[in-house]
Amino acid sequence: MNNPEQRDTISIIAHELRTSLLGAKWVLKMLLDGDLGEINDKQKLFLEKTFKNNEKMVDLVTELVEVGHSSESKPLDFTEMNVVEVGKDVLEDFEADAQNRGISLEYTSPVDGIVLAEVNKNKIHSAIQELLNNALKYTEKGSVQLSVTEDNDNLFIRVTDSGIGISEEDKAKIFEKFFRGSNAEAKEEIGSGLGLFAVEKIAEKHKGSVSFESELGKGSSFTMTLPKKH
Amino acid sequence: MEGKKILIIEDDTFLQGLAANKLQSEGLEVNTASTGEAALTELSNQTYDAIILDLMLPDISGFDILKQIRERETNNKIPILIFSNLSDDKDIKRGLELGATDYLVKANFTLDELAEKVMKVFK
Repeated sequence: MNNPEQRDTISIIAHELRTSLLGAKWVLKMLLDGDLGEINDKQKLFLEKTFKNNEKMVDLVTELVEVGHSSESKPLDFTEMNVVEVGKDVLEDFEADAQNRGISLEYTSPVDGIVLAEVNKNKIHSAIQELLNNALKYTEKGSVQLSVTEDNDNLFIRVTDSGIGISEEDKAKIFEKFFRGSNAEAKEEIGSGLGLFAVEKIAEKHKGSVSFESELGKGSSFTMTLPKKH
Repeated sequence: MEGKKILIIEDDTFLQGLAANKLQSEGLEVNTASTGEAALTELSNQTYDAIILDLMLPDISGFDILKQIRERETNNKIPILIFSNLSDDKDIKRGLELGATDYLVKANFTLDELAEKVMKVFK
């Protein structure tokens, strides 16, 4: 998406979509809160599902914008920070979702709780968010683990799950734009196929890489390896 | 909050209507503007106690409106809440540097939460 016209089109579509989704969110919330009259339990159930799906659509549009931005050719600004803290912030946002799904959410970091690296905080936040989001969506039982570790030169951000895994056939295409694994589609979770593409772009912008290991039916592990200094 | 007057500058009439109804139900006097031009005319003719400002308007950017309002002011600064889809750090930074009282990213707010933010500026 290096073409400025394409980026502008995406921005306009994203703006329109977000505005419509926000209107829907407000009305659904008013209905759920009984502001527009009393609703019965069945209506409430359907409205809650619609509200949740609407929120997911908001996330998808955000992903779309993220992909547009991550494809831009301009370099990122890097600031030295404690990436363990960034991971902790993201993880907190997923605690309620993990609990609802009955998945244990675990965090591994060095004993002193410090991994200093020069990163773009927002982009790293987005990448961890994307990896955790995927892991939770495609894990039915067991655990999702985030770890932030380091060696002398590199920072490692790893998300491991005990989820549905990726088939051998799908492995080669997993970072392609708009690609979704056949078993991921079958699970009927909303997904754009943009998430991992965006994660890879973010890693590249940090002069790093993303790798993964996965076994169908057993789980996956995604690792971002990024240099600590630029 | 009786007697407090707020201007909603928002080009999406659906959102504008929902926000206006909500704030009216909270006891505020609400006026709306769908373009930057209409907003600036409105602000020249009437005094407001607060403004909700969208950034992506069909004619003038919300950033320019904010800048113009702040340049016109002398002592009392009117609370201006930016309410926008733009969620980039650089936009948030720019909005706050230009003098916005707060910067609210639309997707993160329900109508109740928006009303809470507005009520807070009057406390």
